[in-house]
Amino acid sequence: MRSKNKRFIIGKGLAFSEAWEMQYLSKLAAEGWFLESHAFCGFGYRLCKGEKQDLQYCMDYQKLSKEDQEDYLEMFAAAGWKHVMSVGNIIHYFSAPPGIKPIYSDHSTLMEKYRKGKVNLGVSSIIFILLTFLTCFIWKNTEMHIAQLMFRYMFYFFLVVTLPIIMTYLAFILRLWRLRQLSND
Amino acid sequence: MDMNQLTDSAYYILLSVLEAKHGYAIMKYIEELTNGDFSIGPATLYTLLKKLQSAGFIIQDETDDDRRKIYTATEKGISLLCSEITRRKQMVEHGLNAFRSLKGGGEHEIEE
Repeated sequence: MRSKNKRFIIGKGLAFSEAWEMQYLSKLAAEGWFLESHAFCGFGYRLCKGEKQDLQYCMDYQKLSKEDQEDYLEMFAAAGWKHVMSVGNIIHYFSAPPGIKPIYSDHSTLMEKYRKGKVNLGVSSIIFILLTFLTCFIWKNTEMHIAQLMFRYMFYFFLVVTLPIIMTYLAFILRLWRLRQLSND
Repeated sequence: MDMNQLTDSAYYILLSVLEAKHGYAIMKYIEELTNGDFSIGPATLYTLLKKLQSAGFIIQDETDDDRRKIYTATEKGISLLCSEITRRKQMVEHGLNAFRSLKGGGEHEIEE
């Protein structure tokens, strides 16, 4: 999808690699396309056209109340990180010119970032797995043709949504495991 | 956070709020205090401020003029800092003693 100054892309999925996703956004910025907001219910990004720039991107997970938000963003701004967008006031994206130091400066708080993310994802994984099974069960056990059809497509839908969530969850567990290994060295 | 010890970052944050400060001023203060040897990222700072606050080592207030938050160390926080300084001082002592007791220990230079 493309208009002159706007462009929509599907995220590669934080599932596979957050670092990869952030590098991808940097690459787009170098080509003159800047992250503007999220699209497709958080599965994609809206980009806008601008002058080519070297930028680094990063993201953080923090559940923020309204009062905390200003404080939080101000700390990032003071460190040179510009707030780009937030998803559901939990996932926050930032950009900065090269040379600005990472938003996490120590190991234990970085681990906490993934621990927090892991809990949220764990809960969603369970909910979506249950919904997937539930729709499958109803589809297989109902006699009504219309309901069969409906639940069949609902089952397909949940299958498509649940798999990336589970994969993201597994990626977080892997990331935490790696961080833990590093701290044991 | 059940802490009787502080991580390096938490130690510097707590030090900087002995006098009330805004979040962003804490980062600047730490860089000045350490001549730029130690700097704290904003995400680390925010995470630790929340933790120190929920453990009762700092409190958060709103300033009168605007609605921005300022952070101040509590009595509990200050007493933790004092015991932390003693602990860290002892650790440095142990290190120096270990080097001094080496045969020909003069080879390694430690600024004192």
